Amino acid sequence: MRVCLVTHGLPPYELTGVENYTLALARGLAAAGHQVEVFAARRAPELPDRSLRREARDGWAVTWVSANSAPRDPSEALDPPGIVDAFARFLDRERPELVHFQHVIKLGLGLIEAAQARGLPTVYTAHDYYPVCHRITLMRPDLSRCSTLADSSACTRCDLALSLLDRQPNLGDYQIGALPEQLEPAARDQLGLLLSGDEAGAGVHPDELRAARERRVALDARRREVLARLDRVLAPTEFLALQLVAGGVEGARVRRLDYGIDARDLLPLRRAAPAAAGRLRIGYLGGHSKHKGVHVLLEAWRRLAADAAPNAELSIWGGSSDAQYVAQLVASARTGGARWRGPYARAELPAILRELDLLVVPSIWVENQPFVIREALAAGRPVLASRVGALPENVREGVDGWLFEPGDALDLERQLRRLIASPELVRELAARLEPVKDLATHVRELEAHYQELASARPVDAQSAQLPEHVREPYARHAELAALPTRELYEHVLAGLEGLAPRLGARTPSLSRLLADAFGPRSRAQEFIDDGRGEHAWREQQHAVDASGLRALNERLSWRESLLAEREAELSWLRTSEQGLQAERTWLRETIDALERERNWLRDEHAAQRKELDWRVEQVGGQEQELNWRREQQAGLEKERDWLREEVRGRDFELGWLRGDLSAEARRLDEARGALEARLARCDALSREGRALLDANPIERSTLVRARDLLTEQARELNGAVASFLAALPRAPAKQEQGP
Amino acid sequence: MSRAPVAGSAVSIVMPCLDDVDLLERHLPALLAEFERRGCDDELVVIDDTGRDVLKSWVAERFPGVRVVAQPFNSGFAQALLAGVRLARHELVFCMNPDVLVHAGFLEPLVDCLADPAVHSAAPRVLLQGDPQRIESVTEVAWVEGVLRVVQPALDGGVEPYQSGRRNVAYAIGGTCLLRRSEFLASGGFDPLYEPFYLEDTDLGLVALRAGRRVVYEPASVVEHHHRGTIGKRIPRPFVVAMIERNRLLLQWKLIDDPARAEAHVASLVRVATDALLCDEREALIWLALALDRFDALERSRRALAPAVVGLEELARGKAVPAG
Repeated sequence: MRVCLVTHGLPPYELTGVENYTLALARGLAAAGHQVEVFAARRAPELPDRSLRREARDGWAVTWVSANSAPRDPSEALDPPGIVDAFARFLDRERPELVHFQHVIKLGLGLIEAAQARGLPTVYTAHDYYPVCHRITLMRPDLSRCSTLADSSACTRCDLALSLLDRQPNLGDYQIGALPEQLEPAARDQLGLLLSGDEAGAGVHPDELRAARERRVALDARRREVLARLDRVLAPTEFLALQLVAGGVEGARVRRLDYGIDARDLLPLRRAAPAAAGRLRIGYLGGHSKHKGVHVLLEAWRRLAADAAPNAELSIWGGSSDAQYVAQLVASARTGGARWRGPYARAELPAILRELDLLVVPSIWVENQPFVIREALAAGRPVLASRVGALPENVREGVDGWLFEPGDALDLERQLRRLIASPELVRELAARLEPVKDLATHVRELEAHYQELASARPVDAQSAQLPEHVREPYARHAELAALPTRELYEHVLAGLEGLAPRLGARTPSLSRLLADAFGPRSRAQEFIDDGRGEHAWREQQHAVDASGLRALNERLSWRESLLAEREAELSWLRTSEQGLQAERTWLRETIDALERERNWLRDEHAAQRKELDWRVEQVGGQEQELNWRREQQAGLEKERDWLREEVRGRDFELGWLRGDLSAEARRLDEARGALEARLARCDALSREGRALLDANPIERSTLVRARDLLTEQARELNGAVASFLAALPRAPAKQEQGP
Repeated sequence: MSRAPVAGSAVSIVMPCLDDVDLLERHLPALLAEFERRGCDDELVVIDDTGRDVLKSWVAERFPGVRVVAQPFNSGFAQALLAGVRLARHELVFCMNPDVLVHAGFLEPLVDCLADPAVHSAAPRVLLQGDPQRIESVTEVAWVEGVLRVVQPALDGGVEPYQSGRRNVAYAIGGTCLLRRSEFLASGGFDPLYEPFYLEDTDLGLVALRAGRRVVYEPASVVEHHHRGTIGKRIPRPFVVAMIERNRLLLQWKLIDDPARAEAHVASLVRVATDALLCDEREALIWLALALDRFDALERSRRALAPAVVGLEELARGKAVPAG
């Protein structure tokens, strides 16, 4: 069968999983006797964009389409202009009987339509989640797992989030996503809000959101519509098959078919000697993209490096276009004592695996069926993998290796610590590993799918309607029409070799044929002339472009310096913005407080106004009272004046009376002295009377009466004296001043 | 060579058909009226080539007296015509497609042409789709870039020189030509090299010219060709084109008789193939491959050719087709 494999890249230009698988599959199918034509994209700036170049390989061939121009918008990313036309030319030339798509990114959905327009059966191997996730990985731009399928709103948020990352500096390759620590706090918050569904909170304008959603709905609809027409979708794992069906791919078209690999060069390693002296040799092999989780492994290693150093070693193999992330990994490896080994070619794999006892697959994304796991298992190396996506299908706990929680460096550290402490666990499991499906088996399984689809093709209905005598030549025409152009040409040339003798002529000489086919009047010559002319034009254009490029480079430098300034300015503006936002918040709070105060003041003002009115009334009354009091005061002042006069008169009188009083006082003092003497005499008499009484036995009661009488007289006398004394004016110490 | 028929001779019309009843309904009345007018015992033999004998009852009902003969299986125009000519009662046979509408008096001028024993066959003025400005039956052959091509100079206008005056042409269109029954049967009819269809008539004419005979265009005889026949209706166009182009190649391979021309021709075909490869013109390669498939039949046809009186070079240069 003539089988066409379609892929976005192929070694030696692209070296990751799908590309290597396609290469192996092309070889496997060719080995099984199929004619294999691979259609692959590559960048070839030296060629016109979308031009085709066919290279014959060992039993199969690849036709490269130059994909030099980058898509200008998401729609062009889905359907890059011009590639479908090139693919149509390729199909018409190569006439495959079936097209097996490995991927259509960089190539476009139109390729599937072009194959179907020619009535060709179409098979698609889902190596990832492209049919149900435009980001391919089911990961959101914050590197978190997306659990929503066929939800354009969620997909729109991913688009917007990626736009947000577009605006962040120094993220390296962030198309899959960025690690939280790479983002400024404000951007991280914004990303979180956006992905949680709070687009407004994240500052997305409603118009922008609407436009993004409309665009995403249209793009997703286009992808779903084209992929829904595939005759068969192959899913290497159950997990992926379930995701495809959940995402809208018709279940009846989906079949499980796990990979087979060409592991002939790895099988001898199953018998390779175990690690020397029990030292466990641990390795990571693969791409260094963030979602591969190498940073998780290095973090786990850093935690146990001091303990592990004598008993284990860690080697990191592979490369990445994400230079910034790689730099971070290299630094972590250096700090943690891991060996950084760098990129490797597939041919080096046996030598690399020979140096390892255990492979770690620390992915944080929902992996499908990583080839490196199959290769490690084929080589007899157990695998320690994240418990995520389809990895548990690939690495069965205790059968193929062990599992740990994805992204959990602590759990990975625990697992590593356990295996380092007991390396016999690794060796024992390695000895029990089951064989891995080989490529030949995989090819046989694929052949069954191909045959089923090819035989299910409807027969040429038109042929049945033809008059009988036409059917045979019609069938022959169809048979020839199905041949690749190259084979047709070879067939024709072979036939023409025998024609001349049948026409009674000599076979034209080679020089004659060449002269005719490529001579001045041939279209080949026109092609050559055109090509030469185009080449000259391109050279001229190249010179212009080079000059333009220089100017652009200068402009670029200027722009870069401008950009640096702008970035600094932006940074300042961001800081200012944060300050302003804080100030705005403060101002809002202040305004609220002021408003509250204003309201209170208004109430207070009203109350005070009322009080004022009352006080005005009061003041009116007080003024009246004041006048009255003034009048009173005037009267009192008059009275005062009069009283002053009176006081002066009285003072005068007082002075006179004082003089008089002094004389009287002296008399009184004399009288008092007489009285006091008399009183003393009375007391003496009293004492004498008491003594007489005590001495004389007189009737006591008579004496008591006499004494009481005397005592009463003395009291009266004392009272009279006291009253007299009290009534006396005291002599002033000095003369008082009058008013 | 057969004796010359005389003017007024009866003519057998042989008409191979599939189930083209609409065409018969449209075109037979004019033909039968012509028979009536002529009163010469002309006959119409309809060959039912469906292989299902579907026309007999239909024709008997509408056109009593018309003879319908059913082929046991569908064998194509050439074989059906041959069968019909075998059944024809008259020496002069007018081969006619069912999509042809005859004008009154179309037979006499043609019959008159065949009074000349040098004339192999005669072609009426065939108006394409009935358009008087498009004459289909003026035919020539010429070498174009080393490949023999049929040229029809009056097909798209420029008909004035061809409105009157009998002239020699390269061949008579198979669906509207008058020829001699005995001669046709003796040659075995159309060459099966060209099956299933197209250019068998060109071959018949050129072989006659090569033998020193003439094919005559007679503008006084007028028919309309409405091209609604079997091939266009029932067969995909790319295949029809492929058969035409294949047969164009086979025609010249059969008739080419100059070794130098043959060598140049083969070289030119290598160029054609190379150009086709370079320009993604796959169809040209398919045509070549289809023609090359016919090597055996080609050799049979070439062996059956009598020595040439007029070479293909001369025919293609027009030397063999002087005005009659």
